[in-house]
Amino acid sequence: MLEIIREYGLMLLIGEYPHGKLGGLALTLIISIVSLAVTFPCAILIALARTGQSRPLKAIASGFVHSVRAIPLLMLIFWAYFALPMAIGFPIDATYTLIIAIVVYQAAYLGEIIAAGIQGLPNGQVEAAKALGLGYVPTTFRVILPQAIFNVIPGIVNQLTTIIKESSLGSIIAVSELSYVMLQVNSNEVTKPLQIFGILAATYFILCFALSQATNWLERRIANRRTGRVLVEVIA
Amino acid sequence: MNLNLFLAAAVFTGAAILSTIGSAEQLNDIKTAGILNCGVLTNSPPLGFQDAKTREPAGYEIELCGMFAKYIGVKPRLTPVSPQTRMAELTQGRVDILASLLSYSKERAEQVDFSGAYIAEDFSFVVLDASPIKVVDDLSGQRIGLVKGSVLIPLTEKRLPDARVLSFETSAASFLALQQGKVKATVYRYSEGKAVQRNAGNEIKALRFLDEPLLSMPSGFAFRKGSPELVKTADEFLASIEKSGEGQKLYDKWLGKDSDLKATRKFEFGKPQSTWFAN
Amino acid sequence: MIEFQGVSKWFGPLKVIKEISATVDKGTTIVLCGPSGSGKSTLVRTVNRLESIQEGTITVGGMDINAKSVNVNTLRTGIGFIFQQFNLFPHLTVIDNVMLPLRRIHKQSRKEALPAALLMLERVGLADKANSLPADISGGQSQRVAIARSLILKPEVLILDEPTSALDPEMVSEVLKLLRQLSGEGITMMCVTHEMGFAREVADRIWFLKNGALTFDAKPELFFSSGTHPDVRGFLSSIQKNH
Repeated sequence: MLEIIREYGLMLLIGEYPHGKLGGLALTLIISIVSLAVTFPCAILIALARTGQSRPLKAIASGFVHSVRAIPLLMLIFWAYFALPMAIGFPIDATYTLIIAIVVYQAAYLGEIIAAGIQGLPNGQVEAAKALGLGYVPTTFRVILPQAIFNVIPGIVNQLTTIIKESSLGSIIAVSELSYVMLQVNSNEVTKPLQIFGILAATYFILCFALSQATNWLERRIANRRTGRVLVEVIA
Repeated sequence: MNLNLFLAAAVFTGAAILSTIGSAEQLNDIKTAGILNCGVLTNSPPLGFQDAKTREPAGYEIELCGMFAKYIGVKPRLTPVSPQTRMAELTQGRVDILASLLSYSKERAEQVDFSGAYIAEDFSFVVLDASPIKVVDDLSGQRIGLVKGSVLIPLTEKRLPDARVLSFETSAASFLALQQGKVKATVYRYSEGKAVQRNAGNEIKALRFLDEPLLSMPSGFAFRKGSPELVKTADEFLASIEKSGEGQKLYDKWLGKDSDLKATRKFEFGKPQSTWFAN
Repeated sequence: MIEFQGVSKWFGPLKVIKEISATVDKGTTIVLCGPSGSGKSTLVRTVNRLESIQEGTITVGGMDINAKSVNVNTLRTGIGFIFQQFNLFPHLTVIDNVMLPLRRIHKQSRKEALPAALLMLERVGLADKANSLPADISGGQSQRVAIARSLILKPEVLILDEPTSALDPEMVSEVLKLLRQLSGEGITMMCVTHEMGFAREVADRIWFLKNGALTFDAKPELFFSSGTHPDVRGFLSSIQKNH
């Protein structure tokens, strides 16, 4: 196992970079982080449309969620790669295609989780905000979302780790992320699939475990801050 | 999920827009752009793979595509493609040429134009060296591991009607099954099997080829339909390297006497291989 | 200050408010009572448009609140509203709850909003709880914070929908004490409550609702006298049994 890491370490970390495209673990991380960063606001918009008052928006969001849920991600990636360029008239880089497909797919799932968080809030919260004269934006972003999102953190973490793992589907359209590079290593080595896929599995485990630990830490921190805000700040 | 269905759909999609992309001026377009976009595999050593040291694609097909680019006076650009998507990558115009071990088949020839062959390799049964199996007929009634969807499955079933074919997702899984005795044999492309043999070590049981090849499978460059002048140029190029000896040199470097595979070339560069269709 | 003219409301086919016409004078305190389901909560909720009406008009300070030109959020900032369940925002500390309207409606910074919010907390006797979370204070304290929060924008009207019904008995008095104090400070109040002692002491008028209709509108002296409406008499004796 160590020989594999010694021989292919740099390739596994950064792919062909700097004389070629960035790949390997670095690309997996970038795809994951960008996907997470774009998915989150999209999911919030979907959740707001799903739980909001506007019937057309509700219908659009629900149609989107239901169609996405009925498609395997692999197929979505495939169609994004081959059909999207036809629609827009020029080809899109495979990495962007992958990110777009993951965002579209996960926004639907994450949106449903956040929507559930919003629906789970007591009605009195919205009424109280209304009664104070708060408009839609402060009600949504100061009252509803901070509570709704905090309440569904476990579900959110679940989706976020799924995003990391799903980036491995990029290998089907030759995005040189970690899994793809591992497949290349495997085809060079031929006889060590157990070790190679062991390293791959361990790497995904570490990434996902680190993410869920980080989120746990964040969750506790928010909880602490919500209980123990420093008095000095108020008195000052 | 049925991946093949998606592939068929994707290829159909590709075919649908063929008319828009498949301009008759492909060769001129490439010359104007100054770049030949080669679709290559990076997981099939020694034909196309990712070199561990340079971390760049290397191999027989990759060098060959570079030679062809030079022949028509442009620079090569390498685009890795996966076996699942390579046909669509070509028909959709993401690459100009496939140098990606695309074996001849009638179905493929309906969607793309093939040049003459630049490689033909034997596919043979491989068993554990310690096994008592000596000839192909000994495999009758035994379990044989192959990769799902491979053209080798019907051929194996035809050659050994009594054998039980187990299909695996990847060749790595089929290799493990052979190592663990779950199957008695698998089928390897010559260069792939040799690489496995070479890498056999303490933990890996040695392998042995059975003499009688299951088939010899040729591959050529593939182009989008509708540019005969490009195909013609490719054939001329292949014939020229056959004649000049550059082809032999290339073969020796990656597969023949200068490589650790020590294979013998049994094909002629650029010779139309229409009679070799595997199915 | 507040005027109901022929106000009716339906929930589907069910008429829950029946042609109510009445007036709340500026600076007075109205207590609404009646059996459950009589429409008293629904009626007070129409004043800040938490409930819509289908017939009639409601004016606050002379303005028809359902007119198209009225911005509902502006209307609501002028009317404090207290719920039975407090409805504090659990993710915000006490002081942040009180500052929220200043910061998000008056767009004040934390620093600007802080003195007024602390002063308001002092007024309800909870300055020492500024940094507590709603989960860590008692029900009575929560309701007082809710009152502080709804008063921070200095509304002219305060509406209370059963403010003590969700409280343990020992906490009712601290909230009522605060309400008594507010009532004396000249704010216009409408309070739905079963606390008849409070009504007798603080109310300028008491409204008795039954089946969505305003059955009786009287000063406390008359309301609690032997000459009161027969329905009120029955209602008073029934709640005395329960208490």
